[in-house]
Amino acid sequence: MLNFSNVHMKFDKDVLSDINLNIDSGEFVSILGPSGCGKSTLLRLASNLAKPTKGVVDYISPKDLSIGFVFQNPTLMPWRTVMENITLPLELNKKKFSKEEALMWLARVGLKDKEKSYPNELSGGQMMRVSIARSLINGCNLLLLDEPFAALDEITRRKLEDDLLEIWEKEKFTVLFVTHSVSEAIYLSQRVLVLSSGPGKIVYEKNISQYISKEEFRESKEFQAINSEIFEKLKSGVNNE
Amino acid sequence: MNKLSTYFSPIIALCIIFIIWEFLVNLFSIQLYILPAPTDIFLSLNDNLRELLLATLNTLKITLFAFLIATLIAIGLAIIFSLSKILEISLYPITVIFQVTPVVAIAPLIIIWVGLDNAEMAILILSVIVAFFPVLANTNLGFRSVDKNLKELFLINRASKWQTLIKLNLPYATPYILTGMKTSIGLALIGTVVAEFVAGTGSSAGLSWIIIESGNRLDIAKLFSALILLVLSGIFLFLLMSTIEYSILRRWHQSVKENES
Repeated sequence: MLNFSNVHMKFDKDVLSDINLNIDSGEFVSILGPSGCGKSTLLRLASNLAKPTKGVVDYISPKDLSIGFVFQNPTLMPWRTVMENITLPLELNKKKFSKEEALMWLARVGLKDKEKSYPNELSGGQMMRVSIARSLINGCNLLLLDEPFAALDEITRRKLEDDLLEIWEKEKFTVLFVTHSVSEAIYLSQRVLVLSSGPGKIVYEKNISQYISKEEFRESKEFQAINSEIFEKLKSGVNNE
Repeated sequence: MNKLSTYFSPIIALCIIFIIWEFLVNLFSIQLYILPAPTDIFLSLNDNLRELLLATLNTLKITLFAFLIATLIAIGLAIIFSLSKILEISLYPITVIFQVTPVVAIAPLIIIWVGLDNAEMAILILSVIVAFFPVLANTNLGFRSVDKNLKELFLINRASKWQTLIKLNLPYATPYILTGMKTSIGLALIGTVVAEFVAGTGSSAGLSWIIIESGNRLDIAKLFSALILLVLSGIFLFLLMSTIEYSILRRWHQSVKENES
């Protein structure tokens, strides 16, 4: 789906160095790393918002590519209703759409009765749900998320994580998920990458086995073991600075 | 403080000032041609109502027309500046020249250019010059303030420049534009009145002419009536813009929401 080969990125100083990464279609990959390690830059490269200083970022089938991006802030347009916010990508791509289709997406993110609300009438979690629906509505096959749940309380956060997983399991789009939270990365993804800082390099990679029940997995000893293991790697990545 | 007292306190204060004024004028027997009492002013207002109202309407007509033209030019220029950096750096300083030059200083030039028999056109142009800058500066600021992530969202969705302008930049800048317009509408009135003073002698039918004429004839009560109508016109224009602003931003903007809660 998405391939980084020998990618370097330099602004004033090196931000990313020697990134080689292949993400398969339908895979859910999380990126962990300390602040300022270039996680967000990696997402910007993946979304084509920035071009690498060296190396190549390419897609398996660029023609069918539809990218959804969820920012750390919900980034909604305050002058538009919830409904008008989520249909924005369809409007911009001049696609015809039915109201039912849009309502279906609202229902899937749990905002059935909010179509006519304005963003300032919603809670933080609800705004993030609108943002997620907006990123998926245009037949998204590559979803990029930049610490989307960082500002939410723990309960809202867990609910949104589960809802995101449920939609992903049905739609099977590819996900690149940037987060600060080790447990969130382990819980959500099939593969966790750890970036070191200054410049960002992939220093560790961990495949997470599939479990029947995610909830059981979160409580298991193995989850704790992986958590400690990744945390250690993350810490040593910071120490490299 | 409740809402009622917010509205009525200034009115009561004004009434008290009028009563003291009336009392002092009578106490010291001040001449009518120096300072008329409020009752004299209201009598004069009543006597000359038709003439004064026609003059007010004339001044308001030119003010509103100038304000609309100024707004359109300013938003148009801001759009051009947002599309082309080179045009912005070339033309923005020139618009500043218009802003810093006193209208009285360029009035004679404009009058000569449009012709002495075309006073209304000269007043309109001068008023536009005075009024357009706040809208330009605020719209420009609004366009520059557009949320970086929203811009990226439009880029990811491969939005055209036109789509970005219509669906993102203009709505985002709307509160800024309205703030500029609120300043501008007051300036348009000032511009019209000043231009009438300079350009309008004899051929203009606005409030300034009545002020000049009654001043020359020492009819100070009529002069005050014209002044009162001028002030009321200014308040009317400001309230008009505030109402428009409120109705546009009512549902979504923080400034209106906070005032309501």
